[in-house]
Amino acid sequence: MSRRSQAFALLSGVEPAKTLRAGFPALPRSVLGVAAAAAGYFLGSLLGLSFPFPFTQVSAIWPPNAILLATLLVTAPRRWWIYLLAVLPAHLLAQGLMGIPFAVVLINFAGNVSEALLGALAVLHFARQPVRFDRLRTMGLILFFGGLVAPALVSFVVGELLALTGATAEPWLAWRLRLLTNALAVFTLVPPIVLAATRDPRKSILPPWRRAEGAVLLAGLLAVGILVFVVPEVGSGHTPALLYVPLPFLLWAAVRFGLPGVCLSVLALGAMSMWGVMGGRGPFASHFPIENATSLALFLNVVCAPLLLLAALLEEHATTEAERRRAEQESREQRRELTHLTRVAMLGELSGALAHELNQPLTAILSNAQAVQRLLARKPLNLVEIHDALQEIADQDLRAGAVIQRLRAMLRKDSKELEPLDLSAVTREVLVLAHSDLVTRNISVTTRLAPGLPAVRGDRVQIQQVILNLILNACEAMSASAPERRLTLATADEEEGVHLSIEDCGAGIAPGAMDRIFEPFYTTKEHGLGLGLPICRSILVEHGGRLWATAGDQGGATFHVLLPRVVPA
Amino acid sequence: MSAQRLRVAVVDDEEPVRKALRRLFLSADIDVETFASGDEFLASLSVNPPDCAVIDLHLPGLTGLEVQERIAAAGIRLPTVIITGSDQPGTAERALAAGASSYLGKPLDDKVLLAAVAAAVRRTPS
Repeated sequence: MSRRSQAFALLSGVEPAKTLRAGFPALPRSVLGVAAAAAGYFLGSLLGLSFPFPFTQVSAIWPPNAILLATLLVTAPRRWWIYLLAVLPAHLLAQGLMGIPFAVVLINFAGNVSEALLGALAVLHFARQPVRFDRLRTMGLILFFGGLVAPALVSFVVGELLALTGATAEPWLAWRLRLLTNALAVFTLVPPIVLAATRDPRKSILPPWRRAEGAVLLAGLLAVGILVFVVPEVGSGHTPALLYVPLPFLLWAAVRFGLPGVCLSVLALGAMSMWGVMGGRGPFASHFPIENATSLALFLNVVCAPLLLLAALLEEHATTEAERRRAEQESREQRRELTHLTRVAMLGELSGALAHELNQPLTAILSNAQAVQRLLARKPLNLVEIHDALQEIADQDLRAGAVIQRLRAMLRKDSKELEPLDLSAVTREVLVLAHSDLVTRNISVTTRLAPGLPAVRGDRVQIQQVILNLILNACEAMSASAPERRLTLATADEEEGVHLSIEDCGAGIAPGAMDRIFEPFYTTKEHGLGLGLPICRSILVEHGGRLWATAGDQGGATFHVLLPRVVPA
Repeated sequence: MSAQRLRVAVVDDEEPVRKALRRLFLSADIDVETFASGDEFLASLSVNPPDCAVIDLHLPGLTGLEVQERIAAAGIRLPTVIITGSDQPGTAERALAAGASSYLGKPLDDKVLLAAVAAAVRRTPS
């Protein structure tokens, strides 16, 4: 609600809701929103009534209906009645102040309300749900129904009613004026209000250099506006081509500052042309005042509408592009989380083996230390034995430290920079990590790890994760009833890249399941989640590599990891 | 028996652990023989059985439990202390059921280990 009231405040010159709220902390935000709508309507009416063209009662813009339409568009339909009731006193006050006959005041109110309702209902009916104002379709609907259809229909009825009451002798002219001035208000006021009310306010804060650009644009527009609308005298041989001079600035506004940019620029242009007309200068100052008003409003409408659509189109492109990028970023993030989670889960499975891996050096350290204590109590001192024991303690301490280091690396969430890796060395590191588990499971490991392999580029921990996952899968496959529990790991430099094969003697993979095993949630394990292999594959794909499985020579399965060689610079 | 030094066999697949336990037992005036696998140890029994065996659960080939079970199955009266670096639920019960005198988790405190060995030897008179 605060954004909405900010929008109205912006428009009406009232301080934003934040200040209001600070003053009246007890007031609910909806009350402030209603008050802002009423205030906007009142000030818009005064603006529309206070600056008529010379010798007419018409200004080029009629804001209250547009403000009401924008209010309805950004509020829930079930609460519309509150806003419609709230603007009634604003309407009566503004039009009463201007000394307008009461019957006309009422006709105007009925016209304004029904026009806003008609426009809002049509937009909501035809817009895609949920309604988003940064979409070309929504903006087109607002311009068409809110700016043209609703004003055209309602202005016709209002014109006829005014003719009946004798307020106008020319209902057709009233129709034309009302339509054009309402359209201009809808075109220039509704887009910024609805965007300000629904968009993240942080997006509206421009960096300093963009603000500087906006200032240059505004200065250029003002200079050109004065040149075109204010300087030339009536009948001074003014060429119609001059009217196109502001166009580059308007395009600039549309491309660089979007819908609000177009709306503000057209309003600025409108203000300058009004200024010119009121001083009897510029291309719209002819000897027929009504003609002046209508042709100026028509000019501004025709300039504004296509630029608004262009801006909406650009906005839509920008937001869909940003959303796509954000979705990609999110899915990358999720994949990273999942990769980390499966890595942690895998280490959880290995916890027994890892405890053993740490307890072995700790046992050696403790027993050596306590042996030294006993040796020190003896005379004569056996210094050689004591020295050896201390050396063992130091060595085993380093070994325990290395285990913790490896564990920490595997548990870390943030991935490191890619680095050149020797696939044979990485495989050896994983075998050290899995050593205890392999011994416990009574699996004999055969390695044919080629020396001096060309480097592959990768995230060491992620590649280790893949290899560890494949080793644990192989162990699992052989745990059931494999007569021989042999795991064979081999690396080789091949044409396509560096290749690692992990072969087991387990039950093998059913022919139909060969591809399905890489699908998420497909699992043959009793307690498996079915995420290990899909994550391994996605890790390798991200590394530009591949993961696939074949039937093993000895009846089991062979998993193949292929990673591209680092191209020498 | 009191005049004679105790002789303990240590069965563990890792050399640093074997060396450390050997040093500890020697410092407590207990003689030590070490073995890297269950098979190696079982083969030695027919020649010169020790007074007590300290056997790691985690061994390549025959596990510590299997070694213990073979000793029991062969009817050899050998006091044993089973040690492990990763305590799994149920293994202590299995080890004790198979005839082990005690079941200790690594790392091993010298007093606890030596007391366990002494108790094992006392409990199983040869």
